[in-house]
Amino acid sequence: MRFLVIDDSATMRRIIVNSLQRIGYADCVEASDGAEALRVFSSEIGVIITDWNMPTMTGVDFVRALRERPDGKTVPVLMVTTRSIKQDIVEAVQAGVNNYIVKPFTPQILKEKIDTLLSGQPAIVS
Amino acid sequence: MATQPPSDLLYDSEAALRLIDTALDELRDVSPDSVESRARGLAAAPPPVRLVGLGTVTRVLAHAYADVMGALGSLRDTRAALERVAADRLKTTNDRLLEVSSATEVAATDMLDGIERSLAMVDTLAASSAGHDATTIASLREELFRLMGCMQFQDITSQQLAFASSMLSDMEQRLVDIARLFDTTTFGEVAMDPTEQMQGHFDSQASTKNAEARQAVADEVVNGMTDQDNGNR
Repeated sequence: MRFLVIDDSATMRRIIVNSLQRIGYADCVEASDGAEALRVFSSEIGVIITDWNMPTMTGVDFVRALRERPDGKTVPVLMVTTRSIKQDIVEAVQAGVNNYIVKPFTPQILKEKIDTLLSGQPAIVS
Repeated sequence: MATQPPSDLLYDSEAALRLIDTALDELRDVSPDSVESRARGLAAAPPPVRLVGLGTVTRVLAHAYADVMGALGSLRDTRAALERVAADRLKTTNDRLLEVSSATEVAATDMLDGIERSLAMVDTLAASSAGHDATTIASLREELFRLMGCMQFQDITSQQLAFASSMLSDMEQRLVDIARLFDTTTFGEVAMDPTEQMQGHFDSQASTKNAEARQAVADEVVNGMTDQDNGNR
């Protein structure tokens, strides 16, 4: 299972990649913003973990663009962000995010959400 | 030079203008014949009121000139103060915030490097210990991962610093705009609004606090929307 980890913070990417490796997912591709993620995305990506606030293209804009692509309609997306206002969470889910983690998170939360994603939770795209 | 509040200055200026208006009305009352006679020195001395009117005009003009100079002086003082705050103190504070942000990023990277090296050592230790001290080694690995998770503070605090920095830049911009009202030659072209430039780069409400409660809100929203969507299918 290949993961695409998108965050403008190199520290956060390292933490997420290390956490994924710890729970058995060692195959990770990284991107520092939504625009770069759209370039590196391919059908080989099994799960996407994205931040919201990033330069050039935000995580939510990335997800909207991804869901427009034929090869990006069903790939599970987990948003990991500091944004925790209800309105933001609704916006993310409506854009096509499958699940949501608020920073700072624990490895347990990350594992729990990935397990839920891989169990087949569909995205709600409105 | 003493400065006056704008309302006082306005009141004085208005009073000065009224006096000028009155004096000009009095001058207008002087007939061409009497002026001509005075020029020839044949007529009687001009009425005192006309002499008083000219003296008043001189005094009023002098007073108005002093008011205008006072106002200009106070505007120069204000502009200089704004310039000092906008171009010096705010910029210095902003630079320091950016320096702190950069320093914490470097420190976080160094600490992550150290944690990763330590985890590699723990793996080597586990392989060579042949099952001895397995519990201790597992606890050590757990502790190192926990420390790695703590490094999330760097991302969150850097967003908080970016927000503070953008607020300072915005304040600097506004002060420069105000100063430019006083003197358009001193300040050059101002860059685009920094808060717009930084839009989307950071979360202004990023926090390290109450993560569990905020995660619970996220779970509630996501689960609620998912259940509703499943019901609609």
